[in-house]
Amino acid sequence: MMEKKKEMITAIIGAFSGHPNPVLPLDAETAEKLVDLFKTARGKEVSPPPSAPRLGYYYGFFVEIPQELAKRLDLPLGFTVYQGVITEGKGREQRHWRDIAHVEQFLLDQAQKQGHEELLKMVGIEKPK
Amino acid sequence: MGIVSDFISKLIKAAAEWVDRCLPKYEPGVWNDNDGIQWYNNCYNYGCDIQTNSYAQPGYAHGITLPDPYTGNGTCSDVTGGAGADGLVVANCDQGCGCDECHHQVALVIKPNTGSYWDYHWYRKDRDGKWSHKMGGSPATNLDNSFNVIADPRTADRGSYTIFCGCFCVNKTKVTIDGPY
Repeated sequence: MMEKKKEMITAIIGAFSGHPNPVLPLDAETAEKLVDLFKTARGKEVSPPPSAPRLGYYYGFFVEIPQELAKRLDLPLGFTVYQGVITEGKGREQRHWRDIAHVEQFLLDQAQKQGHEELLKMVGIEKPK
Repeated sequence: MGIVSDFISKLIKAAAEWVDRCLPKYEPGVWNDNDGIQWYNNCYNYGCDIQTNSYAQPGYAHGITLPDPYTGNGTCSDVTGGAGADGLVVANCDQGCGCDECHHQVALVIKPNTGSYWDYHWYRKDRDGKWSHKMGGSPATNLDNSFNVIADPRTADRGSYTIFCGCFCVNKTKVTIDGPY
């Protein structure tokens, strides 16, 4: 359970319902790689939205990008990735892209590196590859 | 007849106003923005129908901390204690909350720590008489784990959230919730 770090790109792991979810802080190099992957997938292949998650199971990542950085790099302030689908935009403006760059797997790997492998296993992600 | 029909129409109007004011409407779009509202309001926010954008925790606004999800094994009593401090009132699930106050009904369930982690989850009864919920930062829904509409959280498919703790009444004007974000 970490506090939001608004000065850097962070990713929230969707796992708990009640308890606060773990937040992954991403160092500059990792964040840069994530941005590259996101840009690779963004706008390339339209996807239907992911199916609804089930109680007690993993429900994706929410990536937050600091405002200045988002503006400078022409990125959204946040996006989600779940079941191989990247979603950006709010409400009716939502757009879904197929995760052809494996952004989700990259974040699963980061979660594993930051010590959340056990949690992922508990919520149905057997083994981050 | 005029006086009677006037009375009935005023009664119906008053009841409709009460429902409109006091019972939450199932409007997932209000919560599912794929952004801050969705990810910073959890099942407790949704159950109470109060958006704090702080991932509210039962009792947090009143200095109560729940047991750690990994090392602890929180019980119904732990979460009920926190919710009670926030202003939620224990209720009989079958009798509901009545209409003497402006309140709606919620239900608490727990996933016990069987060697992994424990967690809690809330459902709320909407004005259509059905129940809906929001799993943490995921979108709000009125379906259970088997994708059935939830007529009763006691019998809904709740996955690993196997312990049903009970029902509560939420009067939004008397409830204060907050969280760590």
